[in-house]
Amino acid sequence: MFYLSLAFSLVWLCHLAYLLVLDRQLRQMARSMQARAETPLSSADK
Amino acid sequence: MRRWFMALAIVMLMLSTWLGLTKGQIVPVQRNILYVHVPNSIGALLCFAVLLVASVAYLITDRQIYDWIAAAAAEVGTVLASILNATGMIFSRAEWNVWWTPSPRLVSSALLWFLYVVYLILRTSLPGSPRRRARICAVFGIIAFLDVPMVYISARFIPDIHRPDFSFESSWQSLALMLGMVGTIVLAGVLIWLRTDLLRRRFELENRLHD
Amino acid sequence: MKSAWSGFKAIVIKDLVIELRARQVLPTMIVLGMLIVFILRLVVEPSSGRAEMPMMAAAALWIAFLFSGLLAQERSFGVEQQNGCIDGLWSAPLDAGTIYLAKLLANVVILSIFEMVIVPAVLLSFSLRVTGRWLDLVIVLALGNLGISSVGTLFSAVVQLARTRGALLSIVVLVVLLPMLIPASFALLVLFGAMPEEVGGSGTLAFVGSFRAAQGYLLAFDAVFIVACWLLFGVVVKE
Repeated sequence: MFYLSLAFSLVWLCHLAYLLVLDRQLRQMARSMQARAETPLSSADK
Repeated sequence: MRRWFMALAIVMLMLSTWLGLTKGQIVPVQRNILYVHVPNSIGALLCFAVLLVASVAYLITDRQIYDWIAAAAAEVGTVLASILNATGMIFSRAEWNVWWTPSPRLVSSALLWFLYVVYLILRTSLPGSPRRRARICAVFGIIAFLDVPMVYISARFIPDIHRPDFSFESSWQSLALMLGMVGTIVLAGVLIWLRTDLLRRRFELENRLHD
Repeated sequence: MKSAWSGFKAIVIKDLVIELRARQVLPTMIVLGMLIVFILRLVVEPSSGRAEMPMMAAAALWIAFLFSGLLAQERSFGVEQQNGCIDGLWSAPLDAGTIYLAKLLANVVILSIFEMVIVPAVLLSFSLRVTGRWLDLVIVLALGNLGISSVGTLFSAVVQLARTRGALLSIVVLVVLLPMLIPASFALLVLFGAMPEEVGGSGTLAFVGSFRAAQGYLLAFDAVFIVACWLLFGVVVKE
């Protein structure tokens, strides 16, 4: 019984953790792309 | 759109777990690990199939999207294979009191895990242009895929203690298992999709810097 | 066709001559192999049962083969890095597959030389007798040799530019060769007399199957991977 709950919690944790990690990374990515798009097109490093 | 699939997958998995543990309980109790072990096994193998198809597609078409899909499939596959091995070991400990033993099932899942991990290490440690790295990883993906049936055959040389004779006693059980499998497949698909997207956007982001 | 054959021959002969003259890797291979056998021999107590010795011997033999094999394969394309020989190799009018086969043959020969030294070493230190089945032993070892060299030659070309060359090659080759080791160990155990020809069902023995099946598997494994590596070699060397 112990092993069973161990297994199930492990599985759920892993699945959810990976999902959340990816979701967060995507949001960050979207935010930085947004920020980049909003800066004026002055190529400041010319 | 992705959110829907994600929600669908999670609902299916929750349903599968609930059904499996209530209506479809198997005795002795640790065999219920089956409800998470088998879906992850299917998922891990399917991810490998995705890896293979993406690798071949990349070599044939030279389009970067396939390289990203392959990398995403490798990552998701690693997670699934880790879960596969962990649940397998937990089951082995509960059923036979040993954490691991060279039985065909356990050996094949261990190899699958190793193949995934080596793919990821190769991806991060190869020097050279990204295109060269993508090509070599694709080659490894194909060779590694050849290994999978090879290990299933060679594992026949090891005596099998693994198979408790499992037959479905009630339709609830098969439903729970089915839900688990489909749910895991959908989840894996969503994860690969997410990861591929992430890789693509990172690439675009980096390339905008050079504009 | 004519130039392919002469190109093939040229590469094989060049590699073998360089190795036999400069002896870059063979001594290291042999010493590594001997050390592995020695260490594994130390771990086994002869008093702990008669079955232990053949098992440890089979393990020692394959491990020595694998790791010394890795050294040989690292050499096969590592040797071209000096003086930019590698560019000369690629610009030769040779099909990439031919280059692969030539390097493969050179590796197989070098590993066979190693084999001739290490097998007596193993038999001696583990006090084993291979009564009358010498041909089978040679065949099994040759099949193992081909398997190890096939994958190793392909990936040796891949890892040449990496800093962690040897380590990267090791993990790639070892993981791909894993399935082969099960029937290979089984075959060796049969030859060392620790197992009957055919083992059915489970029991105290660790394997099930027949010796012929194991040989057949090794043959199939080699065929699959030599063909796959041969076909994919061209992809790997494109710049």
